Amino acid sequence: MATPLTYLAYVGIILLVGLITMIISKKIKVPNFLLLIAVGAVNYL
Amino acid sequence: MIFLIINMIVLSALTFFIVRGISPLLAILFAAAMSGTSPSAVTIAFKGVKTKVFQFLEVESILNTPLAVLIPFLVLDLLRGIPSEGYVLAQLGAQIVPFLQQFITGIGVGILIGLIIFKVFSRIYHPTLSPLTIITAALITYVAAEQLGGNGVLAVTTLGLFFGNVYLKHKMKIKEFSEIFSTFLEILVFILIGFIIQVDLKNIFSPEVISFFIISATLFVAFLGVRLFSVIISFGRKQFTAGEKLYITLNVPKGIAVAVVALTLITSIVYPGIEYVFDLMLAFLVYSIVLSAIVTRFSKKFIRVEAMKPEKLKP
Repeated sequence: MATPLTYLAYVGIILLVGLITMIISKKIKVPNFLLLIAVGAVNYL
Repeated sequence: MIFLIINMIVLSALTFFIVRGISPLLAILFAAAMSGTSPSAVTIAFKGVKTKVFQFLEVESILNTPLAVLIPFLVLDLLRGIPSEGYVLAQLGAQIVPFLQQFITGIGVGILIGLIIFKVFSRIYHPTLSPLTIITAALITYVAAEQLGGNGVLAVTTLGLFFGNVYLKHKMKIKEFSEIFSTFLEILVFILIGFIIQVDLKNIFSPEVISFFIISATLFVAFLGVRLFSVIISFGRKQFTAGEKLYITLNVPKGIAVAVVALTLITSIVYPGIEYVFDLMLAFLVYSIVLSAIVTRFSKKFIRVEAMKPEKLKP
């Protein structure tokens, strides 16, 4: 069973990945929305 | 506005006839959600560039987003009251009074809380608590409107319009916090949308997947056709050149509004064809962002101005 700490960790990881993605999207001049969706979809693969 | 009206008529009709077994209301919901462009996507791309085309796209995205969010949510409320089988028109008639009630209550709650917030903010300002008050007010507005039988999204939209149009001394500081908060939510929503997209590489060439891509691509091309037609009839020859009109047509990035509508649609009700419409929304979201990124990258070819200037991250 997932504890509150687990949920907190999920949110933290999603935010960290999102922040890194946004920094990369600024560097390579790609819309951040697209990269965020791609990162989420990669998780499924 | 012209684009929104024409798109709602043409795209909903096309979706209804092309996608089998879909409710007309679902087709309208889809067309309404697709009529908006994302303000953040447009403003990020055109940061620091001042031309007539960019200013038009910026204003357009700000104006059409509230409607592109509001109309789908109103249709969603209508769908909740109508059974998936039987006489839709007769049921629709019975839903008119509750629908109007939702409308009036939503606007009323938004204005009431907006007035309270305005009174409080004009007297008291606290650098930490005032921005938090805005977030709290938005949440309370939504909950209060829903509890009173009104439309929560409409209530929060009314509150937002109210807050945006009143004079407050420290409004810019409060807005700065709101932007940070919205970025946080954008990250969550888009990564969660990515989680929902199921990429099954084994069945990527199956007839179902190919048929979906053909239908979604056809609808997207029709959508661009409607936009081009709307741009041509809205502007005379003198206002924009042919290249500029084409640039405006192809630059329709969807953003957080479509993502939120899609997520709400799939999680809130069970209705025949809703999953297909959800997939179509995601496909449009991806197509429009990719197309917009390509067009913005090659903006010099259309309007002789470079849109996306490289942004340096400050150390």
